[in-house]
Amino acid sequence: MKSRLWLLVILMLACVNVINAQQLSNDELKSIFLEANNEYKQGNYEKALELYNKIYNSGYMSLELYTNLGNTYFKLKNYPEAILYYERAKRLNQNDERILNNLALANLQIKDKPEPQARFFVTVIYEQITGLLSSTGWGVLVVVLLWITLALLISYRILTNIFRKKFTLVLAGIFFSLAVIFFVFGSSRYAYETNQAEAIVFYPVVYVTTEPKVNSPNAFILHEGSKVTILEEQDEWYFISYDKTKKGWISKSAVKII
Amino acid sequence: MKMKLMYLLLPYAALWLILNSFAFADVSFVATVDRNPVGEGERFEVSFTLNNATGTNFTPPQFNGFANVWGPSHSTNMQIINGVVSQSVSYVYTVVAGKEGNYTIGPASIKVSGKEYKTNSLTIKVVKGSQQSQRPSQPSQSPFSRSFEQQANEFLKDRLMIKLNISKRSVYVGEQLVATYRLYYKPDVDLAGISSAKMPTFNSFWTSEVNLGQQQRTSEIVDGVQYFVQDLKKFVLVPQKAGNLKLEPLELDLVVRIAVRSGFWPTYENYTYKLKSSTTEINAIGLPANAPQSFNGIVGNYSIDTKLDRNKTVTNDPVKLRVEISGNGNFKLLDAPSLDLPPDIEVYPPNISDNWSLTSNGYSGSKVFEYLLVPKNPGEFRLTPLKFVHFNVGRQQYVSYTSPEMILNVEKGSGTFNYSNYAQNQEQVKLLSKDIDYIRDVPSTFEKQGSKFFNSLLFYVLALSPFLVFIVFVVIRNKQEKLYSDKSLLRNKKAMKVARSRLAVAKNLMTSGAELKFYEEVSNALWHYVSDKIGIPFADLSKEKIRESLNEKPIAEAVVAKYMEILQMCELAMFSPESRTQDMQQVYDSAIEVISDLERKI
Repeated sequence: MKSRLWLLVILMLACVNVINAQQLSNDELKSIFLEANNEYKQGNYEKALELYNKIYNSGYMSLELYTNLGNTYFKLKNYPEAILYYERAKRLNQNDERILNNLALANLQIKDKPEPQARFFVTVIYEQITGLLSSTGWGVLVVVLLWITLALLISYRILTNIFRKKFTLVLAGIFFSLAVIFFVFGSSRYAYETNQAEAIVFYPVVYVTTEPKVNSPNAFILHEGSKVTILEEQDEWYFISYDKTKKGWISKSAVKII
Repeated sequence: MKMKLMYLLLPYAALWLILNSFAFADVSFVATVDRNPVGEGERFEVSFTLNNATGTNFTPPQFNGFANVWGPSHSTNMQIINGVVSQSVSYVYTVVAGKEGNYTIGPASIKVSGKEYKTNSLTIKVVKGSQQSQRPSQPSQSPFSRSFEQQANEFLKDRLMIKLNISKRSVYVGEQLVATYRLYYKPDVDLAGISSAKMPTFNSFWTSEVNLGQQQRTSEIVDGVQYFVQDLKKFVLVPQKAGNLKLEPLELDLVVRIAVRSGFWPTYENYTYKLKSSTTEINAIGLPANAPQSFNGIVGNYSIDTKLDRNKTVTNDPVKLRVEISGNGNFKLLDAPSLDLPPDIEVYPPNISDNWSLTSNGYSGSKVFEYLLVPKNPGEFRLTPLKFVHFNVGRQQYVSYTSPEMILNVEKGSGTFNYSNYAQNQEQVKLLSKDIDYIRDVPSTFEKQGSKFFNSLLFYVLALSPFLVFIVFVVIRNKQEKLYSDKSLLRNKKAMKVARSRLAVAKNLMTSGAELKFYEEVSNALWHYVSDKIGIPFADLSKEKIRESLNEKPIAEAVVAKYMEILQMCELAMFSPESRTQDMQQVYDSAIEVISDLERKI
């Protein structure tokens, strides 16, 4: 009975995999990507955009896709979209100098200039460390370390020599602690990658209000391309902060979530 | 006692401080009307609003020529924006218009801390017929009414407008003017934002858009009606040719939130309203024909000042010539004037500093050009380096300026001149070469959006299964060990018995004279006895192991040595008959002796 249940579970998982299986294979995506790159190189940015978006709209992503989309929008002078995609790419690798450079240049093109925020150096270092790998990378590392720990614990149980026993136990301890630390790093990274709380303004001019309703006084004005942090959500409104100091309500239709 | 008094006073002091910290804006008293003109017999509202004060003795004006007047009703409004409190009290009258014509509502007055404030007077234009017999109200979504779009359009029609504000209607070619597109909207319009904008193009104008930056909305009264005002775009325009030049309209798609009454609670819908500003013409006057030869199109109100930083120098030691052009004009297009100097003096491109900004009349301020002059040969030079001609708009004529004569004494000096020590524009060069980094050529593998390995079920299964595997391993291993130890315990107990029976067999062999078999059996008995006793499988056993494990136990070394000796002897006897020196009986006895010795200790 039990083994049948397992069989059922495995079958279901297989079904899910089949359904998930891509309408486009990885090779097809790759060829579209290269084609888009060619169009970009020839300066046909509209065409390149169409091809990149074909990949994006079929539900796939990669760091290269996001940076290239950002570049294409930049060349088309659509800076809010460029910023949106550079921000998305930054989520995948926040230490990438080229992405940061492009993002900074795109931010030079928009109207609102946020005041530079002073950040605690420990936070900066921590973010740099967790940014060394993607959450997937950290996850794989954690799994590998845990399996090594397992191997060490088993050999500890089998070995009879007292010195070897001690050695494997210490080693297992080290590997397990590393796995725990990397799990924490991975969690931070995962939270950063899937953070839904940031958005880019897409209306040329937006009135940010003090209340989530009509006729409420305007708190401040934002222009397209500005990055805001979403603090709260209510019906058709987001409560956002800009520059950490300015807060107000903004219509959901005016922003796109990173 | 004194302290106590202070504590008592503290809350009041704090309250006083808080009240004071609210920066009250200016006191004003204004009259507004909700629309103008109105139709005959129509109802409209006249409000007298006192801002940022509380007043007494409100005296309403006479409403002459109106059919009916109700009121006043009071309303108070308080707002805190960025720590600035604005508070207003309104006295609102509902008035019914009478016959066609122009009517004036005189000023109302109010007293604020003894001082009397008066409103402006209003002129109401009453037109024939009911121009807007049904006042456009908030749209409703009942199936019988007109479509939502129609209603929204009607509602917004006279509530939103874009005005083009121009600093000057009649300008000379080359003279600057400021054009501002302003959005006017009534306070009951709720703007969500601007979804798209079509920028006007200015043909035959030199154009520069002004960055408006962050700005607060203001309020303005147009024909007695209050509007909120927001600057949309600001341009500095300079006509490039004479004639009537058209300024194109600005087109906007405004997103407005409109309350839709459906049922009891209103719901809000975003409605995109298209709005267009009016077009305006500018009269550009051509410049007079009597232009001096050196005139090169500079128009404005400028005055010029030239100065040399010192009059004495040595060769190759640079002096600075400072040319300051100040006034009002298009500074953006004002290039460095070229200098007329003797060939003995080298001139380097000037260092330019801008001290001008945008005012309501366009750019004004000053621009300073600092030239580096490097004399190459000694001598006394009389310099009149600059001739600057421009069309002065204020005086409506060409004005030419010649710099006063300057004397420069140059003596022979040693040393060379290095321009890079003086160059200051290196940073700009760096910025120019900056562009976005190129696209990525090779794609890595594509991932599904939103599917992450971390935090997935697969991840947790893979991460936690080692623990499960370990637990399973430990359980199985323990079971096995228990089984094994049970077996060895049994064997331990039976060891003596087994050894005895083996030795009994050996005795039989001894009597029957089968020497080889005898030694084999004795050896077996010894081996198996120890194997059972110390719990090591016979197959894994070696002499070293036996010695080691026996030495760990409290056994006299002599006994161990004896045991090993007999074992050795048996083996030798098994393989080489010549070495069977000892009597079989003797071997048999000592084997029994050793086993019983061991039995006592283990």
